[in-house]
Amino acid sequence: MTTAKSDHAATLEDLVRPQQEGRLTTLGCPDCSGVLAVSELGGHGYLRFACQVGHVFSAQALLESKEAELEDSLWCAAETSQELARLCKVLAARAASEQLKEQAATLTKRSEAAERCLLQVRALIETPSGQPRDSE
Amino acid sequence: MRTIAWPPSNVRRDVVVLGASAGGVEALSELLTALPGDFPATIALALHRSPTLPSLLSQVLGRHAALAVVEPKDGQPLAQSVVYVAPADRHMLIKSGVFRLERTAKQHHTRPAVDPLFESAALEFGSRVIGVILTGNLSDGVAGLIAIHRQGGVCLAQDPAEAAFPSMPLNALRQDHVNYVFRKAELPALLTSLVGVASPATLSAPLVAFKV
Repeated sequence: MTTAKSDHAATLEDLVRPQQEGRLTTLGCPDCSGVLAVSELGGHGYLRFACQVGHVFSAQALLESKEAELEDSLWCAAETSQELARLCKVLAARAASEQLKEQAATLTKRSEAAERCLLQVRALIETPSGQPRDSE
Repeated sequence: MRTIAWPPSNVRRDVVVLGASAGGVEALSELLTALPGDFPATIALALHRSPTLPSLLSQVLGRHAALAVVEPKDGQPLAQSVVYVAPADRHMLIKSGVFRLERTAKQHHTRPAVDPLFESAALEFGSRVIGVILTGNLSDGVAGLIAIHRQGGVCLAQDPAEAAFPSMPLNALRQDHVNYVFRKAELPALLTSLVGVASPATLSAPLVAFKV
């Protein structure tokens, strides 16, 4: 069965078999987005996460990366909210100048909704996680 | 099938691997300054460092050291009484008696990392290895110490109470594979007592029966 390995020999098993030791998780690698496998080393609870190309993380390092990833995602949401609010405001003003009152009112409401969204996202970011850094 | 005791009692511990992160330059300088020029072991160290800044790390560490302190070339064989420093942006591993410098995936967001050096040394030299974790953050080195312990080597960790950044030694200690906790000032004498002699009978690593 190990002879003449070719592409034709690849099966679905090759998709579900991890390239790194350990059990596959549902978590993505912070450095490359590949799936992470987890193994317990040494019998005292140390968890090692490794992706399919070899990035390696302790539980603590992974936790801190995911927190940073979450903050980055929230800043993306904040940025999108801010863009949306500005865009709606400009379009509302243009509609108003063209006497399109109903359209202007709708756009203003949408601008306000985006501004509320921005405030809420900023509040989420600014809430400290309460976890002391650098302990495991 | 027969079983043999491992580690064998006549093993000579002659490979010292050191790992450190934040605060490591000072701790490593102090150690290397205190060791004699004929220290009877190979020393290899991985210190977390910038991948891009041109660094005088080996010169800094070697300034007051009697031992030669160098960054090895890929493929360079190990020599005794030399200190090898992992270069910037490469993992430093030991394979088949030579150093390998690899730009493989970062571990714990860093390259060089401690774990690849320690794990490769454990595989290559088994119970001849003494692994030392000094000051630093997070958990790089823990998997490395676990591998060294499993192969019958000796594991040392700096006393977290005096480490500039305690969590790396602390996380090593939490895994219960550390044979000695040392204060910085004690390390040169501790290494000297461990190196170059037959493995002590009091070694706390468990005896492992191998099938042969």
